[in-house]
Amino acid sequence: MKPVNIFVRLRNDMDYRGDIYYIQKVYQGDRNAYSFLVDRHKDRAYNLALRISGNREDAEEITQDAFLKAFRSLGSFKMKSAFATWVYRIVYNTAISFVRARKKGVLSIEDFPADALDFIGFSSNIREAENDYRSSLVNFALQKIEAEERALITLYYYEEMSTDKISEVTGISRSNVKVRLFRARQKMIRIICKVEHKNIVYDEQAGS
Amino acid sequence: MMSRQDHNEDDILRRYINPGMIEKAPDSLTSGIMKSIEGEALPRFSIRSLVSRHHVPVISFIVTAALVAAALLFPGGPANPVADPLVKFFGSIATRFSHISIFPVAELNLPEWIIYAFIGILLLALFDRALTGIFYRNNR
Repeated sequence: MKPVNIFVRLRNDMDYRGDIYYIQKVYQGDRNAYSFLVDRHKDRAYNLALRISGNREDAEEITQDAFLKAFRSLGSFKMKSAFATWVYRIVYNTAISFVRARKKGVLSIEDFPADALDFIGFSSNIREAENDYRSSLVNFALQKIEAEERALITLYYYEEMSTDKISEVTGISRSNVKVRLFRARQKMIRIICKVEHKNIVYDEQAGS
Repeated sequence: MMSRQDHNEDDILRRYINPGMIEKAPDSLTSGIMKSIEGEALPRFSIRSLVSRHHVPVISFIVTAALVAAALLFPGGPANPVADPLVKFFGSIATRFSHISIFPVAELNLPEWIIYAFIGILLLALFDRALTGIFYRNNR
Protein backbone atom coordinates (compact mmCIF):
# COMPACT_ATOMS: atom_id res chain seq x y z
CA MET A 1 0.00 0.00 0.00
CA LYS A 2 1.33 3.38 -0.97
CA PRO A 3 2.12 5.58 2.05
CA VAL A 4 0.02 8.73 2.14
CA ASN A 5 1.86 11.97 2.66
CA ILE A 6 -0.03 13.43 5.60
CA PHE A 7 0.89 16.98 4.65
CA VAL A 8 -0.49 16.49 1.17
CA ARG A 9 -3.68 15.08 2.70
CA LEU A 10 -3.98 18.02 5.09
CA ARG A 11 -3.42 20.42 2.21
CA ASN A 12 -6.07 18.59 0.17
CA ASP A 13 -8.53 18.84 3.07
CA MET A 14 -7.96 22.56 3.28
CA ASP A 15 -8.51 22.82 -0.49
CA TYR A 16 -12.11 21.82 0.03
CA ARG A 17 -12.73 24.96 2.03
CA GLY A 18 -14.33 27.83 0.20
CA ASP A 19 -12.60 31.01 -0.87
CA ILE A 20 -14.26 32.95 1.99
CA TYR A 21 -12.35 30.83 4.52
CA TYR A 22 -8.99 31.93 3.07
CA ILE A 23 -10.11 35.55 2.69
CA GLN A 24 -11.00 35.61 6.39
CA LYS A 25 -7.64 34.03 7.19
CA VAL A 26 -5.95 36.92 5.35
CA TYR A 27 -8.08 39.40 7.35
CA GLN A 28 -6.85 37.71 10.52
CA GLY A 29 -3.25 38.32 9.47
CA ASP A 30 -2.28 35.10 7.70
CA ARG A 31 -0.70 36.48 4.52
CA ASN A 32 0.19 32.96 3.29
CA ALA A 33 -3.51 32.05 3.06
CA TYR A 34 -3.59 34.24 -0.06
CA SER A 35 -1.40 31.67 -1.84
CA PHE A 36 -4.29 29.17 -1.67
CA LEU A 37 -6.53 31.65 -3.46
CA VAL A 38 -3.85 32.36 -6.07
CA ASP A 39 -3.21 28.65 -6.71
CA ARG A 40 -6.90 27.98 -7.07
CA HIS A 41 -7.60 30.74 -9.61
CA LYS A 42 -4.31 31.48 -11.36
CA ASP A 43 -4.73 29.12 -14.34
CA ARG A 44 -8.02 30.56 -15.49
CA ALA A 45 -6.91 34.11 -14.73
CA TYR A 46 -3.71 33.51 -16.73
CA ASN A 47 -5.68 32.09 -19.67
CA LEU A 48 -7.96 35.09 -19.80
CA ALA A 49 -4.95 37.42 -19.72
CA LEU A 50 -3.20 35.29 -22.36
CA ARG A 51 -6.07 35.42 -24.82
CA ILE A 52 -6.55 39.15 -24.38
CA SER A 53 -2.86 40.08 -24.58
CA GLY A 54 -1.76 37.42 -27.07
CA ASN A 55 1.57 36.54 -25.52
CA ARG A 56 2.79 34.66 -22.46
CA GLU A 57 5.13 37.28 -21.02
CA ASP A 58 2.44 39.96 -21.04
CA ALA A 59 -0.12 37.48 -19.65
CA GLU A 60 2.16 36.66 -16.73
CA GLU A 61 2.71 40.33 -15.99
CA ILE A 62 -1.02 41.08 -16.22
CA THR A 63 -1.95 38.16 -13.96
CA GLN A 64 0.63 39.14 -11.37
CA ASP A 65 -0.55 42.74 -11.45
CA ALA A 66 -4.20 41.69 -11.15
CA PHE A 67 -3.62 39.46 -8.11
CA LEU A 68 -1.64 42.25 -6.46
CA LYS A 69 -4.55 44.65 -7.03
CA ALA A 70 -6.94 42.02 -5.69
CA PHE A 71 -4.85 41.67 -2.52
CA ARG A 72 -4.83 45.45 -1.98
CA SER A 73 -8.60 45.74 -2.34
CA LEU A 74 -9.48 42.50 -0.53
CA GLY A 75 -10.88 44.53 2.37
CA SER A 76 -13.57 45.92 0.13
CA PHE A 77 -14.55 42.61 -1.50
CA LYS A 78 -18.32 42.65 -1.10
CA MET A 79 -18.90 38.90 -1.22
CA LYS A 80 -21.99 39.51 -3.35
CA SER A 81 -20.36 37.67 -6.23
CA ALA A 82 -17.98 34.72 -6.15
CA PHE A 83 -14.33 35.55 -5.50
CA ALA A 84 -13.44 34.03 -8.89
CA THR A 85 -15.81 36.42 -10.70
CA TRP A 86 -14.35 39.36 -8.76
CA VAL A 87 -10.77 38.35 -9.65
CA TYR A 88 -11.77 37.81 -13.27
CA ARG A 89 -13.12 41.33 -13.37
CA ILE A 90 -9.79 42.69 -12.12
CA VAL A 91 -7.85 40.55 -14.64
CA TYR A 92 -10.15 41.74 -17.45
CA ASN A 93 -9.73 45.44 -16.57
CA THR A 94 -5.97 45.09 -16.08
CA ALA A 95 -5.54 43.22 -19.38
CA ILE A 96 -7.61 45.74 -21.36
CA SER A 97 -5.66 48.70 -19.92
CA PHE A 98 -2.38 46.90 -20.64
CA VAL A 99 -3.27 46.13 -24.25
CA ARG A 100 -4.49 49.68 -24.88
CA ALA A 101 -1.25 51.10 -23.50
CA ARG A 102 0.80 48.66 -25.58
CA LYS A 103 -0.78 49.61 -28.98
CA LYS A 104 0.66 46.65 -30.87
CA GLY A 105 0.53 46.60 -34.67
CA VAL A 106 -2.24 44.64 -36.34
CA LEU A 107 -1.31 41.24 -37.81
CA SER A 108 -1.95 40.68 -41.47
CA ILE A 109 -3.45 37.54 -42.98
CA GLU A 110 -0.02 36.80 -44.51
CA ASP A 111 1.43 36.40 -41.02
CA PHE A 112 -0.40 33.11 -40.58
CA PRO A 113 1.55 29.97 -41.59
CA ALA A 114 0.56 28.60 -45.02
CA ASP A 115 -1.80 25.78 -44.14
CA ALA A 116 -2.54 22.75 -42.05
CA LEU A 117 0.16 20.72 -43.79
CA ASP A 118 2.76 22.85 -42.02
CA PHE A 119 1.45 21.55 -38.70
CA ILE A 120 1.77 17.92 -39.69
CA GLY A 121 5.50 18.39 -39.75
CA PHE A 122 5.38 19.03 -35.99
CA SER A 123 3.16 16.10 -35.11
CA SER A 124 2.99 12.49 -36.21
CA ASN A 125 -0.73 12.34 -35.47
CA ILE A 126 -3.00 13.90 -38.10
CA ARG A 127 -5.82 14.56 -35.67
CA GLU A 128 -3.42 16.28 -33.28
CA ALA A 129 -2.00 18.33 -36.15
CA GLU A 130 -5.51 19.34 -37.17
CA ASN A 131 -6.29 20.43 -33.60
CA ASP A 132 -3.05 22.40 -33.43
CA TYR A 133 -3.87 24.06 -36.75
CA ARG A 134 -7.36 25.04 -35.64
CA SER A 135 -6.11 26.25 -32.29
CA SER A 136 -3.44 28.42 -33.96
CA LEU A 137 -5.95 29.74 -36.46
CA VAL A 138 -8.35 30.74 -33.67
CA ASN A 139 -5.53 32.40 -31.70
CA PHE A 140 -4.48 34.27 -34.83
CA ALA A 141 -8.05 35.42 -35.47
CA LEU A 142 -8.37 36.48 -31.82
CA GLN A 143 -5.36 38.77 -32.17
CA LYS A 144 -6.95 40.51 -35.15
CA ILE A 145 -10.05 41.62 -33.25
CA GLU A 146 -10.29 44.21 -30.48
CA ALA A 147 -9.21 43.42 -26.95
CA GLU A 148 -12.74 43.67 -25.49
CA GLU A 149 -14.05 41.34 -28.19
CA ARG A 150 -11.25 38.89 -27.46
CA ALA A 151 -12.27 38.88 -23.82
CA LEU A 152 -15.91 38.19 -24.70
CA ILE A 153 -15.01 35.30 -27.03
CA THR A 154 -12.71 33.85 -24.35
CA LEU A 155 -15.27 34.13 -21.57
CA TYR A 156 -18.11 32.74 -23.69
CA TYR A 157 -16.40 29.93 -25.61
CA TYR A 158 -13.39 28.95 -23.48
CA GLU A 159 -14.72 29.63 -20.00
CA GLU A 160 -18.29 28.74 -21.08
CA MET A 161 -19.79 31.56 -19.05
CA SER A 162 -23.36 32.73 -19.49
CA THR A 163 -23.99 36.25 -20.79
CA ASP A 164 -25.14 37.23 -17.27
CA LYS A 165 -21.83 36.15 -15.79
CA ILE A 166 -19.91 37.89 -18.59
CA SER A 167 -21.86 41.06 -17.86
CA GLU A 168 -20.81 40.77 -14.21
CA VAL A 169 -17.13 40.30 -15.11
CA THR A 170 -16.87 42.99 -17.77
CA GLY A 171 -19.31 45.54 -16.38
CA ILE A 172 -21.02 45.66 -19.80
CA SER A 173 -24.81 45.32 -19.84
CA ARG A 174 -26.24 41.95 -20.83
CA SER A 175 -27.75 43.24 -24.08
CA ASN A 176 -24.46 44.88 -25.03
CA VAL A 177 -22.60 41.65 -24.33
CA LYS A 178 -24.87 39.83 -26.80
CA VAL A 179 -24.42 42.50 -29.48
CA ARG A 180 -20.62 42.63 -29.11
CA LEU A 181 -20.39 38.84 -28.99
CA PHE A 182 -22.35 38.66 -32.22
CA ARG A 183 -20.00 41.17 -33.90
CA ALA A 184 -16.87 39.46 -32.54
CA ARG A 185 -18.13 36.11 -33.79
CA GLN A 186 -18.77 37.52 -37.27
CA LYS A 187 -15.32 39.08 -37.43
CA MET A 188 -13.63 35.87 -36.38
CA ILE A 189 -15.56 33.80 -38.93
CA ARG A 190 -14.56 36.28 -41.65
CA ILE A 191 -10.88 36.09 -40.67
CA ILE A 192 -10.93 32.29 -40.46
CA CYS A 193 -12.60 32.09 -43.88
CA LYS A 194 -10.05 34.50 -45.39
CA VAL A 195 -7.15 32.44 -44.08
CA GLU A 196 -8.78 29.19 -45.25
CA HIS A 197 -9.47 30.71 -48.66
CA LYS A 198 -5.89 31.96 -48.87
CA ASN A 199 -4.71 28.43 -48.05
CA ILE A 200 -6.94 26.92 -50.74
CA VAL A 201 -5.57 29.39 -53.33
CA TYR A 202 -2.02 28.69 -52.18
CA ASP A 203 -2.56 24.94 -52.48
CA GLU A 204 -4.01 25.35 -55.96
CA GLN A 205 -1.06 27.46 -57.06
CA ALA A 206 1.40 25.01 -55.52
CA GLY A 207 -0.35 22.16 -57.31
CA SER A 208 -0.30 23.80 -60.74
CA MET B 1 -32.37 33.53 -28.60
CA MET B 2 -30.02 33.29 -31.56
CA SER B 3 -31.02 33.89 -35.16
CA ARG B 4 -30.34 31.10 -37.67
CA GLN B 5 -27.29 32.91 -39.08
CA ASP B 6 -25.98 33.55 -35.59
CA HIS B 7 -26.54 29.90 -34.73
CA ASN B 8 -24.62 28.77 -37.83
CA GLU B 9 -21.74 31.09 -37.06
CA ASP B 10 -21.74 29.87 -33.48
CA ASP B 11 -21.52 26.27 -34.74
CA ILE B 12 -18.63 27.11 -37.09
CA LEU B 13 -16.68 28.80 -34.31
CA ARG B 14 -17.31 25.95 -31.88
CA ARG B 15 -15.66 23.57 -34.35
CA TYR B 16 -12.45 25.55 -34.01
CA ILE B 17 -12.55 26.27 -30.32
CA ASN B 18 -11.77 23.64 -27.71
CA PRO B 19 -13.23 24.93 -24.43
CA GLY B 20 -11.40 22.42 -22.25
CA MET B 21 -8.05 23.76 -23.38
CA ILE B 22 -6.65 25.68 -20.45
CA GLU B 23 -2.96 26.42 -20.49
CA LYS B 24 -1.35 26.04 -17.09
CA ALA B 25 0.04 29.21 -15.62
CA PRO B 26 3.82 29.22 -15.10
CA ASP B 27 4.87 27.52 -11.85
CA SER B 28 6.72 30.62 -10.73
CA LEU B 29 3.57 32.77 -10.87
CA THR B 30 2.35 32.04 -7.32
CA SER B 31 5.74 32.70 -5.78
CA GLY B 32 6.05 35.89 -7.87
CA ILE B 33 2.69 37.11 -6.62
CA MET B 34 3.43 36.24 -2.98
CA LYS B 35 6.73 38.07 -3.28
CA SER B 36 4.99 41.16 -4.67
CA ILE B 37 2.54 41.29 -1.72
CA GLU B 38 5.28 40.91 0.91
CA GLY B 39 5.66 44.61 1.48
CA GLU B 40 1.92 45.35 1.21
CA ALA B 41 -0.23 46.23 4.20
CA LEU B 42 -2.57 43.42 5.19
CA PRO B 43 -6.12 44.04 3.97
CA ARG B 44 -8.64 44.49 6.75
CA PHE B 45 -12.32 43.79 6.65
CA SER B 46 -13.84 47.22 6.23
CA ILE B 47 -16.97 48.47 7.97
CA ARG B 48 -17.61 50.55 4.88
CA SER B 49 -17.72 47.30 2.96
CA LEU B 50 -20.26 45.90 5.47
CA VAL B 51 -22.51 48.93 5.00
CA SER B 52 -22.18 48.91 1.23
CA ARG B 53 -23.02 45.18 1.15
CA HIS B 54 -26.17 45.67 3.20
CA HIS B 55 -27.25 49.15 2.17
CA VAL B 56 -30.91 48.18 1.78
CA PRO B 57 -31.50 46.95 5.36
CA VAL B 58 -29.22 49.69 6.74
CA ILE B 59 -31.18 52.46 5.02
CA SER B 60 -34.47 50.78 5.99
CA PHE B 61 -33.36 50.59 9.63
CA ILE B 62 -32.36 54.28 9.64
CA VAL B 63 -35.72 55.29 8.17
CA THR B 64 -37.64 53.21 10.72
CA ALA B 65 -35.57 54.51 13.61
CA ALA B 66 -36.19 58.07 12.40
CA LEU B 67 -39.94 57.42 12.24
CA VAL B 68 -40.08 55.95 15.73
CA ALA B 69 -37.90 58.77 17.09
CA ALA B 70 -40.14 61.35 15.41
CA ALA B 71 -43.21 59.72 16.96
CA LEU B 72 -41.62 59.85 20.40
CA LEU B 73 -40.12 63.29 20.21
CA PHE B 74 -42.64 65.38 18.32
CA PRO B 75 -45.58 66.35 20.47
CA GLY B 76 -49.06 65.53 19.27
CA GLY B 77 -50.48 68.68 17.76
CA PRO B 78 -53.70 69.52 16.04
CA ALA B 79 -55.39 66.78 14.06
CA ASN B 80 -53.18 65.49 11.30
CA PRO B 81 -55.16 64.69 8.13
CA VAL B 82 -52.73 61.90 7.13
CA ALA B 83 -51.57 60.27 10.34
CA ASP B 84 -54.82 60.35 12.36
CA PRO B 85 -56.92 58.30 9.93
CA LEU B 86 -54.09 55.74 9.70
CA VAL B 87 -53.83 55.48 13.47
CA LYS B 88 -57.61 55.14 13.78
CA PHE B 89 -57.67 52.47 11.05
CA PHE B 90 -55.06 50.28 12.69
CA GLY B 91 -56.65 50.94 16.06
CA SER B 92 -59.98 49.69 14.74
CA ILE B 93 -58.36 46.49 13.43
CA ALA B 94 -56.92 45.84 16.87
CA THR B 95 -60.34 46.42 18.45
CA ARG B 96 -62.06 44.04 16.00
CA PHE B 97 -59.80 41.20 17.04
CA SER B 98 -59.83 41.99 20.73
CA HIS B 99 -62.29 39.13 21.34
CA ILE B 100 -59.69 36.59 20.22
CA SER B 101 -58.14 35.57 23.49
CA ILE B 102 -55.43 33.26 22.22
CA PHE B 103 -52.99 35.74 23.59
CA PRO B 104 -53.87 38.03 26.45
CA VAL B 105 -53.47 41.05 24.19
CA ALA B 106 -56.13 43.10 25.96
CA GLU B 107 -54.33 42.67 29.25
CA LEU B 108 -51.08 43.92 27.84
CA ASN B 109 -50.22 47.42 28.86
CA LEU B 110 -48.54 48.44 25.62
CA PRO B 111 -46.86 51.82 25.36
CA GLU B 112 -48.46 54.37 23.08
CA TRP B 113 -45.60 54.45 20.62
CA ILE B 114 -46.22 50.83 19.62
CA ILE B 115 -48.76 51.89 17.01
CA TYR B 116 -46.20 54.25 15.47
CA ALA B 117 -43.59 51.53 15.38
CA PHE B 118 -46.11 49.28 13.67
CA ILE B 119 -46.80 51.94 11.03
CA GLY B 120 -43.03 52.42 10.71
CA ILE B 121 -42.51 48.75 10.04
CA LEU B 122 -45.15 48.78 7.31
CA LEU B 123 -43.50 51.82 5.72
CA LEU B 124 -40.15 50.04 6.12
CA ALA B 125 -41.44 47.16 4.03
CA LEU B 126 -42.44 49.62 1.28
CA PHE B 127 -39.07 51.41 1.42
CA ASP B 128 -37.27 48.09 1.38
CA ARG B 129 -39.10 47.01 -1.75
CA ALA B 130 -38.44 50.36 -3.45
CA LEU B 131 -34.75 50.42 -2.51
CA THR B 132 -34.26 46.81 -3.65
CA GLY B 133 -35.72 47.79 -6.99
CA ILE B 134 -33.32 50.74 -7.25
CA PHE B 135 -30.09 49.11 -6.03
CA TYR B 136 -30.54 45.68 -7.55
CA ARG B 137 -31.97 46.84 -10.85
CA ASN B 138 -28.89 45.56 -12.74
CA ASN B 139 -29.40 42.05 -11.43
CA ARG B 140 -32.64 41.66 -13.38
